[in-house]
Amino acid sequence: MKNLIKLQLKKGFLNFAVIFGTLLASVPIALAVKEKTMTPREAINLAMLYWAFAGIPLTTLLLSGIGGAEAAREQARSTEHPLPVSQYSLLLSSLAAVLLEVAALFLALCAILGFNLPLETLNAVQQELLRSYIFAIVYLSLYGFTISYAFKNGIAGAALAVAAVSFTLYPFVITSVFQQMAFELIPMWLIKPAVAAAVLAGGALALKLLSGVNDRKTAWTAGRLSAVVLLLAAAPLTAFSSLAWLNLKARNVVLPVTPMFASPYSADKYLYASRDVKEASRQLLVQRPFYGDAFYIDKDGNRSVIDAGRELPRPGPAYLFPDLAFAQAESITAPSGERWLLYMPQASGSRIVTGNMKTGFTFHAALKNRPWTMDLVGGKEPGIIDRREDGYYHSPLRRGQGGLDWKKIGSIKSGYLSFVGEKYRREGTAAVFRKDGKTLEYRGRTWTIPDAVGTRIPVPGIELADGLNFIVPSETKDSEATYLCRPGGKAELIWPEYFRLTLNLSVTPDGAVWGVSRKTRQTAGSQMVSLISPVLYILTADGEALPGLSTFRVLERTGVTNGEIYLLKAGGGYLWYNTDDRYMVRVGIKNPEDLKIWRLPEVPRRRGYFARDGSVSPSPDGIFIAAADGVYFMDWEGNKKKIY
Amino acid sequence: MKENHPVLTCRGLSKSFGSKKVLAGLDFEAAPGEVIGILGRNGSGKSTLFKILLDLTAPDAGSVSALGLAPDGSGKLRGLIGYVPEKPAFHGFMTVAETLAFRASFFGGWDKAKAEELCKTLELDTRAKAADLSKGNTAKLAWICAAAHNPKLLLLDEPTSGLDYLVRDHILNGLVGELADGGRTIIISNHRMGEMGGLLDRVCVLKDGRLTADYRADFIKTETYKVTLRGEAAPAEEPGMKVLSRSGSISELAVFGRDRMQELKNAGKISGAEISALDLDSAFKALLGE
Repeated sequence: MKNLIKLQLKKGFLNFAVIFGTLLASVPIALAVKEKTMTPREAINLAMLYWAFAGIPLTTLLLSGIGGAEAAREQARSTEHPLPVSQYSLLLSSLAAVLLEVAALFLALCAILGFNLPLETLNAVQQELLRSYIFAIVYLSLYGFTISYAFKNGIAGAALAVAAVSFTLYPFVITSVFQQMAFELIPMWLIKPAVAAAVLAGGALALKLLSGVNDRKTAWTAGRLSAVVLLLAAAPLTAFSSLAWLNLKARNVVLPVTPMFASPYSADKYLYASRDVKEASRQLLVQRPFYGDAFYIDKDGNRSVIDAGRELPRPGPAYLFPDLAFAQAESITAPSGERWLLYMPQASGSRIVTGNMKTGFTFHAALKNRPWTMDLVGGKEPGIIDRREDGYYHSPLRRGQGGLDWKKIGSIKSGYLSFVGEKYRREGTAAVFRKDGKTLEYRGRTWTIPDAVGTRIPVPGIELADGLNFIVPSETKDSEATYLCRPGGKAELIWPEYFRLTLNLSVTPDGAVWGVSRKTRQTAGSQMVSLISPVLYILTADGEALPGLSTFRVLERTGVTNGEIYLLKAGGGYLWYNTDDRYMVRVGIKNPEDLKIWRLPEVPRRRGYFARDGSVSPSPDGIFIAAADGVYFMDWEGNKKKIY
Repeated sequence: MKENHPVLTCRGLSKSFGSKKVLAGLDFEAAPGEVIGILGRNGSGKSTLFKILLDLTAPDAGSVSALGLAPDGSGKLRGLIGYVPEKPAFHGFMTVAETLAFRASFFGGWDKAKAEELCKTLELDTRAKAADLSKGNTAKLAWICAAAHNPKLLLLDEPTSGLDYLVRDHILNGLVGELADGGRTIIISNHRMGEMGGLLDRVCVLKDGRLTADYRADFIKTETYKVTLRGEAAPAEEPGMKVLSRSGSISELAVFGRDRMQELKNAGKISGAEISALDLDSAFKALLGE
């Protein structure tokens, strides 16, 4: 084979030498014609960019087209076929020569760039294209050669090779980019080698069949013709199949509808919502991005539609790129179960709706564009705040009275916190610090916390078994701590860490307040957060402050080393928590060996969406799981059912 | 046949190109050391038969066994066979020496000394580029390439076609030299089979995709007759008797076999005819039915 490849390289040397010379000559030409503002390096980079994206692909087509067509000619037959090697080997040697020539050109290009490709500014799509580049060049070479050989015509071969590569790369890149930018729904680790195998095996086997017909004069039969066509179409078919698979999977994806800017320990959520957490968590607001619809769903699978979504059937081209529409929403819930929802679909039509699962939801007011600047404000009288260029505005939300009645509540500089704090203070759900910054006051009761980190913002209360409690952090030069201000008037140091309800504490549906302390690190090559010895701090609904509980062993058992950990429920001597949306764990508070682990259905993980998705959301009776294939409900004993 | 175990066996070989049937169930055998001439008109399938024997073309049906191997598309068979194609071609950018060196890398039994010797004998300049070789020198190079690896089986497809007398003599001398080495089986297709006559052991006629006649060369040389009839209407052709020409009242016939001749005499069909030995070219022409 080595001698054959040498022979083919000699045969094509003149063509290759001309192209190679042109590549080298483009360096001085680029320097000669460069703009004055460009550095020599930039001029060369630009020239090589043209070579990379136009010159080398065209050269590949040219060389493979000539190689394939030449191999089919009588001259090659009469000179080389008498050799004691298979005719297929002769073709492969010719193809190998083409690949070597293209590789030499590419290496020369890299050498001109000093093997330092200027790729640092590429976005995700460009990076994906770059990853496909080498593959596409090999693909062009193989198919350009094979089809040119089949038609004994280099131009026909090149044109059809471009078509084949385009029909493969389009769905392949779209699938890959979609998964890079949205969710990973289908295994690219399987699809990439499958497409590569389809290209290599399909092209090579088709060439073998064609060699049988062209060289060995095997008769064309319908079966042989079909086999050649199918082999050459294997790669595009595989790529389109993966895109179809992606479309099918994307149809089933269900996500919770959450505020875009909410963080896992959202300040706004608890400061302004003052909702009945238990009631609010009985239903989950979910969306299907493929259809663009959204609905509330309860544990029995009952639904109440918020947004009917896009009309079906969708036009065919829509399936060439799964076009997802994501909605955001923020809600507040009254103890009666009545909700106010600030709903922001991706398309226009942001609105405020109100209602409940029993009676359904009704339109309340339309909002212009996508009102990123708005937040709902809970309390006895729900309302909405908007940040505009000239200041903050507020409107109450009142049932039966459509529309909004905006009133300015402060300048941009003064902010809106004093308005909200005053509102909560008036309604009796928040305490305030005296001017000394150490004394917290609520309805005549005071607590003095040494080294308290006092703020101008009222401190929201937490409803525990003994009434409204307040959590206040303190800080000295050497230490941090968290105090609980109980209704009895005593400030009690509960945790040796810094926690604040509006910063890094959450509340479970059963009323437990919790936070997690951990060292974090960014794992190389991943956006996930590495969990290292996380410690949970929990204040049960009964008012018992548990000492820090290490979850390391549990994480070790579940194999979760990256991601998040969330408390779901604390009661009856047990804790339930969610490890990275993959497992629900129940562990005895006093006996960590009393452990149960349930695997959760796979949830879609939105790329680049750093806020907690809430795909696994606790409710009083169990957890909702907005999964890749529907919505599930799992009770606290791990019994799971699909509810949508 | 010089030995009973065939070097080459074909059974039921068939090959069609589109609707044209070129070989139709051809059976053929060649024994070690045999020199066989294949006679056939243009397009009769001689080259196709050779390409199948060389494993260059796949038959539609039938089997081939040559030198213990069956054609499998691998090309191994060609390593054991010496082949002179009808229109030899070489890479024009190589010199004769480079061509021989290139070929040597593929043929296990390549005899470099023999190749050099043949170049000298045939007066072939090894420094010449293949592209610059005359037709005769190209044929010489083809002959050297076919013979240099000492193949047990030589397939010569019109080896002297279009060559001048001198080159033909070179080739024929080379052929004699190969035969002198002994043990070679040679299959030749040649329009001028007469010039090969002295070398052949058998002559086979390929017609309509089959071997329609298979004669020992001795038979052609000693038992073919030219019968010249005057003034009378010539008898119609029949088995063993072919009309060579008709001109006015004179007809020339070819009769194959002493027994057949006697039958015709006894039947009074050639009474008064002039009978002489038939020359080889005419005998082959008659066999082809031309």
